[in-house]
Amino acid sequence: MLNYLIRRSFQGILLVIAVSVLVSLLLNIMPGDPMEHLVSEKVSDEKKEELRAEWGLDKPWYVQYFRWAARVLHGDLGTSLDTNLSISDSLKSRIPVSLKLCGSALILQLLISIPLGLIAAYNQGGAFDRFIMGYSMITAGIPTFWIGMVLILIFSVWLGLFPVSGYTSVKHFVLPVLAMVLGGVSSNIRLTRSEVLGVIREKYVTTAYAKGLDERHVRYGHVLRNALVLIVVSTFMSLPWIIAGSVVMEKVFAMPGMGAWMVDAVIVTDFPVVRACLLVISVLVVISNMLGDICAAILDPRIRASISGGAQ
Amino acid sequence: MKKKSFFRRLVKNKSCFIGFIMIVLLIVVALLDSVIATYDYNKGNVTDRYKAPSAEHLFGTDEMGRDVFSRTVYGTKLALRSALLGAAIEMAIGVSLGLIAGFFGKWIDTTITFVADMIWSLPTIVIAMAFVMLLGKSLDNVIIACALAGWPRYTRIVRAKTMGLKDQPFVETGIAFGESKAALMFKYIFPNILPSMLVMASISMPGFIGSTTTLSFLGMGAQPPSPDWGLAISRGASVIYRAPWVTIFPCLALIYTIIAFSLFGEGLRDLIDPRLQGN
Repeated sequence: MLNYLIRRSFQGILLVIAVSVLVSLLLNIMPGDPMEHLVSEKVSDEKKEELRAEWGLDKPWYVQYFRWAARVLHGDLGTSLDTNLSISDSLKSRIPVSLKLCGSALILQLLISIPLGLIAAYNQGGAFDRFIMGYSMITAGIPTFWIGMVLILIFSVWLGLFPVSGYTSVKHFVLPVLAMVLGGVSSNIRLTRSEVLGVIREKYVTTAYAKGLDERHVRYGHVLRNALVLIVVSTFMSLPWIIAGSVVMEKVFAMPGMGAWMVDAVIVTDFPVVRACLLVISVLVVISNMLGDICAAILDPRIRASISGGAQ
Repeated sequence: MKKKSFFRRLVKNKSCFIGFIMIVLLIVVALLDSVIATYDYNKGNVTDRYKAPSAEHLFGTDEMGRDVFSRTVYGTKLALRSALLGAAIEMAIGVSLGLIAGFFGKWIDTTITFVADMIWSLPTIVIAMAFVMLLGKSLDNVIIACALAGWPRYTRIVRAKTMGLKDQPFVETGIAFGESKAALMFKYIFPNILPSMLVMASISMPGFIGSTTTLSFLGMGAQPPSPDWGLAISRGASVIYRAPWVTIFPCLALIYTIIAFSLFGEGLRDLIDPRLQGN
């Protein structure tokens, strides 16, 4: 198990490095002076030359990359071109807001999709099943910001139940989390449904019924228990979509999270900030994939056994 | 004969047919935009700011007194253009790389698969945002950026299919004819995967419209005074209390378009390649 975790960590670190290398590489592949892509026209010529020297833009891209990487390993992500503040400090206050959003959305998604997926699977072809399939087909393409706007319109403008923007109380989180879940939950419900349908056909389920176990016991102890592995893993794997949702929602509901910051940084071409945010997001994705793997190992003895090479 | 029966099946498949009709309507609106629109999308009277919907201004007016109905109509062409152009670029990149990876194998395959998996494991919007920063803010760059972030969806499937097809007798015949590797890939293998690629493209189109509109909404795509729906929705968002119609109508147009393409794409998949179904 430990070996497996170490191997997975190495793969994760490789992904994070590859993403950051790709960003550096792309910057240098782009035609023209990289400075033009990196800083807005407002930055003075002297500042540009200063930055050119600081980033080593006169040197080959791999030298630039190693310089940046060395500083990141020392915990220095650079300073924002826009505000001149330390990026690490700003991230410290912004990451918790984003994590709260993503975490609540992730948990709520699991809590909704498992029971609904079970109901849909056990009523295959029924009214509820057809409703869920239709709902998921339509919501699959709807952008999160659209759902956010509709929720604002209904719950803030017409009903006046929730605030439009801010991040100070639980109330502020209700609408953005709801918007993220409403869009993302459909694919999870579909997945739960197809997993449950797959497990129902397994021989051990027939055996369980043949043993005379009651319906409830089979449904929760056998079917759900086995279907749960893939559901949990894929919920963790869906984190990229949840992060994407939170990037947009932070902007829609004016929450000072990391995603909103990255959007602003892209708009004012604040490269160091964008690069730092990409780094944090790729680390988050790697961590969630690993959490998914660990959960799968906890839930499924077969996976546990194959990981530790048969020796339990 | 074959075409006729395909059309008949298309009509029989309810979701595909409804989607098809909805898309035809969209195309008609896009082509006749200057006829349907009652005002110029960029001309407004400041004294007419935030007028509620009326007979004169069907969908009301926005912050510059411009007619929201006309702007929504003019936005149709932009949305359709993003969807078609974006899907084409995305498919061209994804299919070419998938063919190359599957055909050549070895380190080429490993490299392409690694990059594809890497891009696919990160949020598409975030990758697209990074590309927009490097390319510059405009609607065209947003389309390119979304395509650069989305191509792996094709690469995986094309790679797998190419690996299955490259040892088939008809490809070996091509080799015996002395065909070049490019010809083998694009003339022999590609036609066999084209139908499922078209299905994939039509399924991914709603998502593509969603991504480009999202980026415009965030201020990275279309710039004022463009009648782009995403831009219109974001500009209306700040006055949603005073003048909800500025946001509501472009929102409805966007949702209509996405549902149209979803219905059409899902129906088309059931008709052509049901095996693509699933998660």
